[in-house]
Amino acid sequence: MKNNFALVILPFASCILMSANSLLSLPLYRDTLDNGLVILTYEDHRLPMVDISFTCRAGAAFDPVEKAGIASLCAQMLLRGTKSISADSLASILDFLGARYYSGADFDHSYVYLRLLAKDLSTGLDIIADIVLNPAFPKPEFDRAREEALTAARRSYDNPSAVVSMEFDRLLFGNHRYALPVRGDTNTIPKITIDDLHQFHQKQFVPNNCFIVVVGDVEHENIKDEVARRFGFWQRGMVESAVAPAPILPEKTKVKIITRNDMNQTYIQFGHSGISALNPDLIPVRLMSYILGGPPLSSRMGLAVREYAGLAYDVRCWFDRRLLPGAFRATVQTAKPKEAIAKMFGEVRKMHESGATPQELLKAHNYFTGSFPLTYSSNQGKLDQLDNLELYGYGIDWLETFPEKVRATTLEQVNKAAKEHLKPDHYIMVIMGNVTKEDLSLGDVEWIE
Amino acid sequence: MSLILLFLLSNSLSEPIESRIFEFKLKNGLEVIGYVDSSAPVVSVNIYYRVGSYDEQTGHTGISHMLEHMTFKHTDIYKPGDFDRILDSVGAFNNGFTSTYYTGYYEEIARDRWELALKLEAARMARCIFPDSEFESEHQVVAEERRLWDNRPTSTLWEQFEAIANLVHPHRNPTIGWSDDVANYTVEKVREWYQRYYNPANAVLVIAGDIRPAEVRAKVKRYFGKVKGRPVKRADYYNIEPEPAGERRVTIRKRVSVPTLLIGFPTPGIRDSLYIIGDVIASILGAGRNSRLYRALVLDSALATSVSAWNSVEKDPGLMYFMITPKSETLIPRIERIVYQELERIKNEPVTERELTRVKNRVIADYIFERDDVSGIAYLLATSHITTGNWRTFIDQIAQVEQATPEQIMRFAEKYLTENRRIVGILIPEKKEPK
Repeated sequence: MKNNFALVILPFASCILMSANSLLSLPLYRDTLDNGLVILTYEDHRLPMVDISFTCRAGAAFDPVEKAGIASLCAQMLLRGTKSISADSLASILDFLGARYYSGADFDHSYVYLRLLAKDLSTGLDIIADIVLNPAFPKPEFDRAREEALTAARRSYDNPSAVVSMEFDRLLFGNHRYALPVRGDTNTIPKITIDDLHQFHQKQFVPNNCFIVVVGDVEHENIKDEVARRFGFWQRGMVESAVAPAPILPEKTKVKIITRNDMNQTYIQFGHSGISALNPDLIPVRLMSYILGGPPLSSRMGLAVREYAGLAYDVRCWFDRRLLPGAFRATVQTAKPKEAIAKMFGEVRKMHESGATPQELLKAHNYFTGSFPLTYSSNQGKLDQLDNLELYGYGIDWLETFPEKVRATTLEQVNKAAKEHLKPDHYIMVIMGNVTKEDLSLGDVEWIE
Repeated sequence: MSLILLFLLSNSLSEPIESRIFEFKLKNGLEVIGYVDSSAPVVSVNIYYRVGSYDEQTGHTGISHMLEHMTFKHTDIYKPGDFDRILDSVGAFNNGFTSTYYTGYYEEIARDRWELALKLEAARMARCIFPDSEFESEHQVVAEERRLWDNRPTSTLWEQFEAIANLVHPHRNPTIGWSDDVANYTVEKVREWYQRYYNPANAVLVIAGDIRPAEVRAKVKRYFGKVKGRPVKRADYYNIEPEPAGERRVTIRKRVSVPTLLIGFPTPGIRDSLYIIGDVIASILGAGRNSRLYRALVLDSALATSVSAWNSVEKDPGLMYFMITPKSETLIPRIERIVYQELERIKNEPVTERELTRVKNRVIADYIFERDDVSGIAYLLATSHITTGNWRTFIDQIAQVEQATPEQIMRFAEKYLTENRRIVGILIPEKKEPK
């Protein structure tokens, strides 16, 4: 099988591995090749299988706004053929192994994921190396992938939640890339060219901007060698940062109604600028937003809107987790928008002004610390956690320090986070359904026509 | 058994799944299945009741789902919200869901806390009370959940499609219930449904993760042993659906930007020894880039942007589905012709060895992959047991796929994938009304 594609020549001797293992109690290891490529391994020998992710720390945030969708399309195209192997052959090999695989991008990163039986590890690493280092972006495949992206963009307009969310982003982020979906939209996708993908790949896919995570029936020492053999020759490059969106704080709440007379329910999203995933207030903010609008059956918003009043099936709020500050968002779908909005506004204001109670914080502490080990009991969960801790720089010991950091977060910190990071009276709000301004009684707001 | 499966099973790291499973039954009829995996300090507790949309009649469709919502509310010892409050406070994940053949609840919880999940589930089984006031507000929540469906055009396509595909079988009813039925639920009906279906003799309890069999036996007996069992005789609709007498078709115009084409064929249920061949055919036709329909419709003719296919059979005869995204509405007749040509080809020419091996390898790999997550394996054991009466079914299915032959595939296609049995659903943009 391996002979089906030509591999790059790999001068093993050039790779000096810089070991940075901590004294963790978990079989978790991190090393860096001298070209900057980071390797993380979590050894788990329960099952003869391996999960691999390859991540480049550049995603849609680097797209020019007028060509939004480049990162996403580039990631899709990684699986559509290399300089030595066609898209068909690639799929044929992976399907024949029974592998699961996909690639994609988010605002902060581009990635390839592969799950296979442990006996096929070597083939898997060969394929990952080939698609990451030598993508060909063949024209027929590019045309097809672009058309698929365009169809997905068009289809999103058939989903009321997506329409409301896209309009909210457009109003909140203005000219910033965050104003458009990761995949781009029907205006930007047709403008993307193969050359754009080549440029994005050449600039961003450099070893000191990438990391590889391997979880499963493997030995770290062996993985280090295998990865070094395939990626050790890869030359460093320049790494840039994406530009942060300018925070928007309207003087008073701005509301846009999208009238849809054929709907029997109103879809609502409101919020304002949020925080970066690197913000030191991240954990207090996460605890606070969990108390305010986390689980729909037991958060403050959930109790007020769903459990006590029966106004909605799903109601929640959250802060986007992104490297650059994203949004704070609250969403609901209801046949009684006026009542639901009043209750949600009320809960945000109450949290902003009075904060959480000690009992609520204790419950949030217990939930976060208790549920955290559940999130990485599976190999897939371990891979997700390792991807996140590396991408956001939380540290190799994050699986052990996160619960400690949560427990150390005080009520004062949570309430300070509520004061600083919630901004009632300064929302952007999008409402879609069979409603008028008069139906909503929103008071002193600015209407966006 | 194939060599590769034998290799995998002989590996000490993946001994046969059966060696990790134990089962027992309480005197009151509660069936218990345990799966031991001590690699992570996690336990998944799952209880499934034999009740779902399969058991519902016109006028109260969706009542099993309404009841599922209500069981999170009030028991004689827990107040509304206590379930979530208690489980959240120990960091457990929990939820409930309703399906055609079952209503299930689960808690994923730290290994030193799993007894708490048993305690809560025992209360849910026998001690729920349904005060009128709580019913009123939750009834509104469920009505809002139903409205979410109303506003998604693809949900309308699915509902209409299932309804024309099944003239009389309960598969025709959506699990969430028809809108008018949802609006007319009464708390009396919820109480009646609970009394009829929620008891140990109508349930299966699956506990998976870092557990010891002796401890499981003792704790399950402690919490569920005294609950009275009342066996429920479930109606059998296996053969109720008449043989299709001709193609059925629904065309729906909605406010959509992208058309959807759905084609289905009734396929046999689990009492037919060849039923699993439907899965193999669906995979050869529509799973992945190298599937026949993807090649024909997306790569070769460029008439569609996506294709998928699957065979949905849990117990009674079900349907094989082909879901296609045409590039435009006008291409749908050409796409249909190509699909039907491919179906003729599969009837008349044996599939290649490589195509068949690809499907088999995938099933074998999945056999390992599915064990990554104890909640996933618990789901497989519970659903397999409750729909077929035997948790081993999902393992037997792997062996059956392993033994599939090109001749079986031709025979199956010839018998079931015929014009007279075809159901076609089309979702296309509304016509522009002249002003």
